[in-house]
Amino acid sequence: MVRSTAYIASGKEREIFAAASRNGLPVLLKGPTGCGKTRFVQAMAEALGRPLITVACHEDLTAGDLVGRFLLRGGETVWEDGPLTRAVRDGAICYLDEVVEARADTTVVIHPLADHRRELNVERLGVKLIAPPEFMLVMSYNPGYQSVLKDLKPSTRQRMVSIELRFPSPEIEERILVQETGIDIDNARRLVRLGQAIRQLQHEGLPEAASTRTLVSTALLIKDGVAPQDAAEAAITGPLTDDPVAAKQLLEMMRIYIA
Amino acid sequence: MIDASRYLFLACAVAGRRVAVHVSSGSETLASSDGQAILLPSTVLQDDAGDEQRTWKQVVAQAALIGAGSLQLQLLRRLVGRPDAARRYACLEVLRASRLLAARMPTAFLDLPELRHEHAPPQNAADSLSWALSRRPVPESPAYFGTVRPLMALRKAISEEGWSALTQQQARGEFQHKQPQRQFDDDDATEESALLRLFQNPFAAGNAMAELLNKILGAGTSKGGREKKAGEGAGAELPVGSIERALRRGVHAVLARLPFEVPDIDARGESAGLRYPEWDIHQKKYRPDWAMVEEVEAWRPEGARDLGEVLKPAGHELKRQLGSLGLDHQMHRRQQDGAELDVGRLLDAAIDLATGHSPPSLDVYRASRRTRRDLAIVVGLDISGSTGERSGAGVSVFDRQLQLAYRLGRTLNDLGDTVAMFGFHSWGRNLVRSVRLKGPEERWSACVAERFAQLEPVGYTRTGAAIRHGARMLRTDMRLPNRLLILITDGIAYDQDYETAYAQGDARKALEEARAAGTACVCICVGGSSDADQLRAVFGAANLLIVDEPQQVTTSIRRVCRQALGAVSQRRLQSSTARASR
Repeated sequence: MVRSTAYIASGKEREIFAAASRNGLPVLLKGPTGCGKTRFVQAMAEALGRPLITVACHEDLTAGDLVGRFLLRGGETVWEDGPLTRAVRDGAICYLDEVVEARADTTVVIHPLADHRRELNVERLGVKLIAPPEFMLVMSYNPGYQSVLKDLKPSTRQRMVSIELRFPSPEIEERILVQETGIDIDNARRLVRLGQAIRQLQHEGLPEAASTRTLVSTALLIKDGVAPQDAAEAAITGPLTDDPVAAKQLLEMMRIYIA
Repeated sequence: MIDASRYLFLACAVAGRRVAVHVSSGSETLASSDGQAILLPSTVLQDDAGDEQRTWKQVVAQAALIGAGSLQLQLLRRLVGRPDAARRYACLEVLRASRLLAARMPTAFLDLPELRHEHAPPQNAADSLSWALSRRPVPESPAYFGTVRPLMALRKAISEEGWSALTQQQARGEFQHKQPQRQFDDDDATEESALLRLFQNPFAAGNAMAELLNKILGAGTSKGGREKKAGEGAGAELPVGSIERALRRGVHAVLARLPFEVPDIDARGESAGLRYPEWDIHQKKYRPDWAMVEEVEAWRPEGARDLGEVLKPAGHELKRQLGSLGLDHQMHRRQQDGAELDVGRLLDAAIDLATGHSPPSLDVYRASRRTRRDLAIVVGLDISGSTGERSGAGVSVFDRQLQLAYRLGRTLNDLGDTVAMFGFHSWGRNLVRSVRLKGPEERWSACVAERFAQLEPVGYTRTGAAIRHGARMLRTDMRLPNRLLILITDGIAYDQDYETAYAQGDARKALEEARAAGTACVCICVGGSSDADQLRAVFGAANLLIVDEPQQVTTSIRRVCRQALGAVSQRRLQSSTARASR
């Protein structure tokens, strides 16, 4: 099943993103996991009619992985563009997901691209690529997730226009569930109330809250014929906690919210 | 039989903060709450499955009252001695709260027939109060709405003040601990004098009892006066004297119970606490499941204190001192020298050479270096009443302890260690409270400082339970190889039936258990201690740091922590060698 890419905005994020894109400004998306960051970028790429190149950053991701490298093929060396170089050449949106995870040396290539210069220095090839106006750099970052040691450098942050996404308000979240999954409004409301309630729990057993993503998954399962209670257990409790005591109390909560 | 603990998340979610759920062992039939714990009537225990429905509704209604701010002391005061008005107030407030918090309340609750009223509910708690006190009709209140018990909430506030006064006296060694032979009765004419004798102490700053009575009864009188002047609400129709009598009787009943019983709700029955054993040095055996620790959220009825001056981050020196604690080996890639080759990097270097670049350096090795932060730390902060004592400079021991705990926690967290923090105080073995300051998974944020600002020094110290609780957190929640428990206390291990030899014996035993399980324990005492010898006997001189000011820990904290961690790893090494040779 292919889900629609229509995106329901919670605030002014769409307008800000579009304006940033018109003016060649890079965007930093902040927000908890599962609140719709990736979804938003997809929807905007579609709305602006640009290709989207996504890079999931990890702690071994180096500048070379972004820009490109020579590969050994037989006795020859062959150059292969990295995703960032491809995005610059094609005038695409390059989305660096969880950018703080990447190694510090990536800032060397990101900085000149992210300010007025908009240039990518491909050192190995000895060329400087000037990004076309269509090219856009988008990064995401989950402030609650990383430790203090892994934080974005102020010099990187300053180059960005930041858009803070939060979990949507109850009314909007209900609409999202209905639109994404086709679930009826009563069930959507129940799920959203449960989500809102779980977000109040700052218990140690629950490092993350029930996200919009988990609520959508639950709704999809319900829509497919799974009993609401089982769907919530599978899509919310399971991913949220391994602690048996916390799980038991969550289940009790769900029973009351979903019954 | 209904297990109240399973409703814990439900209660916390609706209330919007950590609350406890207990089943009362008393005879009341309606649920109520003191703002930190919800007390369900014991009848839920006998209910058969069909009535289980009622239990969760009671939990939701009471949690909603907490979440909507219905239990403000200044409002509840006016409901003392008026159970009918209290119920009317609870009913109006549940209706108001269920509109206010609708977004996070269970649909099943909002759909109940009693919740569907066309009339607009009151705008705020003060409106509800004047409505409840007036003759205006109030919608019918079903039993599951419960009630508010002004005295339960007030009693908590009063008794905490009372206890704090007591512990301060004890801190000065002036309190003669004697179990009274007779119980005071509500209407006992001699109670006041007997109690006054107990409290009257020429050395106590002011008179604890007199201050309490002034505070409570003074408030009652002026309240009555105001009511009369305003001439509004049902309160004006009651003679002021009777309000005072009711208030006085209630307060005296409470005060009479004060020092000798657990002043709070009865925590027996099913509840969500953790039970720890205690070592009885006289019998030379454990008392299993003896102390009950419940985890609560920091909450001060009067609102947060301004701790801007107290909670300042530490200087670089402390960071430097603590920087080398608990390091472990970690494999590093791209090193200039090392024990093995970094194959990926080697390929890159080969390609660089093949394409005519000269690599800037031959960083093609992998090496193991001591860089990994592998330390889990729990900071236990004594927030008993005795720490409220002020020093000559006018700064309380409590504030200095807060400062130290905050700085240590913040610095260790900045260094990348896993840090959890809790405050502890107690009122007897059934009510040891662990106030969460920072969870192990939680990222450091302004929330931590906010929780510090909600702390208040009340209650007693049950050191053994605090050590066991901290050690359990380290063992089960954090699971790192190097574990350090830092206890910040003023040194007076004292609680109901927990004193001198017994308390020392138990604390020592708790430390032994923790060390045997691989947890290093350190005790820091700020502002000096009259019990230094006692502490030294319990913790051992090497693991004890006594300083006058928080800044002074900087010079010796590394030595003490290192020693404690070293002793534990030595022990681990020995036991593993012993196992291997067997």
